[in-house]
Amino acid sequence: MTHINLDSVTIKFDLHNPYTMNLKRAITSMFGGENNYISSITAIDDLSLDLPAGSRIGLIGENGAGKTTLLRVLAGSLPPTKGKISSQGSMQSFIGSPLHGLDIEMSGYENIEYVSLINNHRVKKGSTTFNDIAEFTGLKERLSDPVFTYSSGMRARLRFSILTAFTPDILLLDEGIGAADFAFSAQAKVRLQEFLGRAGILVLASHSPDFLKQFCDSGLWLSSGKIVESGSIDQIYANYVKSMQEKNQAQS
Amino acid sequence: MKETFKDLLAGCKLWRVWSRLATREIQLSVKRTVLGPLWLIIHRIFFAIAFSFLGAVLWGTKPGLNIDVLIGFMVFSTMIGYLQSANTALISTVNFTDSGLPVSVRFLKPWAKEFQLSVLSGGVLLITSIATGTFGLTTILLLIALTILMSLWGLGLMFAISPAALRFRDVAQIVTFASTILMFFSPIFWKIEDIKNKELAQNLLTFNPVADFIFVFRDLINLGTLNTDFLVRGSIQTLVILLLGYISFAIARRRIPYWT
Repeated sequence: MTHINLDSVTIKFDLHNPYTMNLKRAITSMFGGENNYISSITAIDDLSLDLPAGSRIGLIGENGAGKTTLLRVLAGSLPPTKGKISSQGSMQSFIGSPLHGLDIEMSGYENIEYVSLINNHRVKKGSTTFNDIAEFTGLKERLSDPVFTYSSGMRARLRFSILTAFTPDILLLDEGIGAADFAFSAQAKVRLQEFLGRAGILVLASHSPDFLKQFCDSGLWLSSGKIVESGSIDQIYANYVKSMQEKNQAQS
Repeated sequence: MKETFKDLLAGCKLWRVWSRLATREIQLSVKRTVLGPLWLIIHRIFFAIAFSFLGAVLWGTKPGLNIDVLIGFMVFSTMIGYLQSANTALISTVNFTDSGLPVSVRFLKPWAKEFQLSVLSGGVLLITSIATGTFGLTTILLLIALTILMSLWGLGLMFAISPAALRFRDVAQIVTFASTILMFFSPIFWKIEDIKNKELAQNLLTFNPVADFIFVFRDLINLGTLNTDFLVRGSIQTLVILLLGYISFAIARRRIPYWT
């Protein structure tokens, strides 16, 4: 059964002076010499969370609240400094985009196979999934051309079509997946809805209230790595906005 | 240790991903060239020719491509390739951090690239065996087995050195000049018989991790035989490095995302 459980998870980053972070310092500090430690940042502070199958949770908070760090912990990219995490189910995460990017030397068709493979899906040329992706891009015969000849909108279409073709049990999204140009966005919206709807668990971090309310039913408000409040997405977002307005008024 | 093993197993299951990425990196390094991946071998052959001439100048041997020098340099450059790759493995795969892939993939992908290059070098050695008259099924099978053994040595090195090189960039600098020094201390363009201070040369070879493999490959290609003494030493060395690599990976695995 798909689930994610976080038990008293803490993520602490130690900050070191990068100019003095060397072997000499490491050795001398063992014998009482000066080390290059500056301070530490607690990005997630003793956080416990249980997400059963069917969870649709939106992460809300200011910049630096710990949303992306929490997503990275859920994705398994960042082992907790303290605490435990357990999860069950296939995972697809969109945190940053480097490995989901296209290889511009390859053709569109080759990228369908390549990007799918990087996301742990074997999609062979001619298969139903392959044809579905190719058709959805709308790029037709341009798919045979190398991606460096594509416009940015065409690249976005191709990337979006590939990434939304699969059905992960757990889907983690940081600030959306992006869609293409205006003419594509109506189709993209439907496809995105279907894609997000298929996920067993969805955790979405965004500053867009429309995006959060459309795809999430519950919200988690984070601040300084701690949960401030959790509940229905509408209520949590309203409370968050109110808190930000009060804070801005107090500052001014 | 259990989590480390799980990570390794999960990484191995994704062999299609990292082997494809490794192939892609090789292709990109020689893109838009006429000779393609052959360039990766050509420069090694030219080095072997240069060292052959150096050997001819120093020891009075016949000028021209020396088969022993070619074999020595092919083996040496393959092993140093693994060493240099170990130096930069975790730095070059920093974009894997948020990919959701197991940490071991960050080691396996650079290793796969060197393994694929070693297969190319193995092809050159196989062609060399035609010149020496030892080409045959036995030579092919032994060449494959020795290439795999060398690749396991490289894999252990990858896991052993990469975390240290990521954490302390001094390690990367040390490995770089150590590999240059190792080239001159390895029996590529010189033989023990040619050295005046034979005892010193013997000591150098005893502590040289590359020497055993060079001798094994030379005996195989020149004589069609397997030197079991050097093979046993090379195998023990490989096992020790694999064990050290596993321990290093187990210790560093959880910290690697924080060091990146």
